[in-house]
Amino acid sequence: MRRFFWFIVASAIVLALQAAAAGASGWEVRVPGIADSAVVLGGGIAVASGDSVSLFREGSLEWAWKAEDRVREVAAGTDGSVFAAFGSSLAKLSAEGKPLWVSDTYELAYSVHVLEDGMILVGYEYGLLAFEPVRGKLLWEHYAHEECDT
Amino acid sequence: MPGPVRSYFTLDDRRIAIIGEVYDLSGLRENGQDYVNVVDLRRGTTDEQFEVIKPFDIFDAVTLGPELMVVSVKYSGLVRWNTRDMYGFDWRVKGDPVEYLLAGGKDSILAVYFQRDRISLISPSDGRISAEARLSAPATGKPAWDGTHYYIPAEGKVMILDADLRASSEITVPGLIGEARVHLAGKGVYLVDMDSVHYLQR
Repeated sequence: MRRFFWFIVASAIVLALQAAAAGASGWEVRVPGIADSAVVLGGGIAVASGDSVSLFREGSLEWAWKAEDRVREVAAGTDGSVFAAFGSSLAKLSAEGKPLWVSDTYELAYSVHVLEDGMILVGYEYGLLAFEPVRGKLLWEHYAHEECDT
Repeated sequence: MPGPVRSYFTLDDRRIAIIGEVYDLSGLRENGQDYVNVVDLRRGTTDEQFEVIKPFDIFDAVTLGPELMVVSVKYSGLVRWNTRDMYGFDWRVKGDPVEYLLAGGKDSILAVYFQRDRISLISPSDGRISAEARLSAPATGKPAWDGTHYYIPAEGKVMILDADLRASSEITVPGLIGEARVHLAGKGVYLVDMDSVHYLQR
């Protein structure tokens, strides 16, 4: 996993340099095995691949963060932060890629959605979880089966 | 057994529509999700569940306001729901199954059919098709709308169409392979596939 992480970092740096040389109208970076991506407030795009989250801005790797498990989902926060779902956890990363908190999602997370007021919704194995954005406190759980007679 | 929530559709500051999966049911199906719920964001409780579209096999949905949601369902077709009445619907139009729905220009909804080379504009008032087009190549992901144009990813390029679905331009994107997603950001557009991120200025 660690080797894979550094492979991503090295590949991104080399290809970003190539892209920068190609001109200002656009750029391209190669990142093997992209699982999800999200445009970040303030510019740049966060990319989940393997057990890493990488932030690219103007063709350059701004930062990379390594999780303890495969990152399945990323979402942009309302303050330039990035949320990453990995294993049975949800992490909030600062605009600089520093982990601010990690909360338990009980089981695998399949989707992450951030509302305008900052609340984070996580679609996990058995329904939906809501977290507040400052400390990652669980606000409520939603289980469709209680009302879903499908 | 209940499964994960996959998609979110904001209705207002108190309610959100979600599309989710029920494992016992989804295992029987090739595509789609299994329920549409409206969740109260204050408590996480269900406000309504859209019952009319049973048997559920939901492909996509779009919202154009707090009480205007159009859902693409395998057997029911396109169905407009007011998000309030679990057994009520405003209209239902059966036709070729729609894989992607997107709020677009001129108060219309862009529909991408499963063949992915045919698209149409749907009127939200009655579900009728107001314009249709064939794409020069099958779409490889869900389009995006920037207020004036649709951006549709395809193998090695992005197709740009105006609000009436007339081809405006195409930009070659070497290396854009397989399923792709489009992110609009300021003056640029990101195209992301399994192994690469491409940024183009608009």
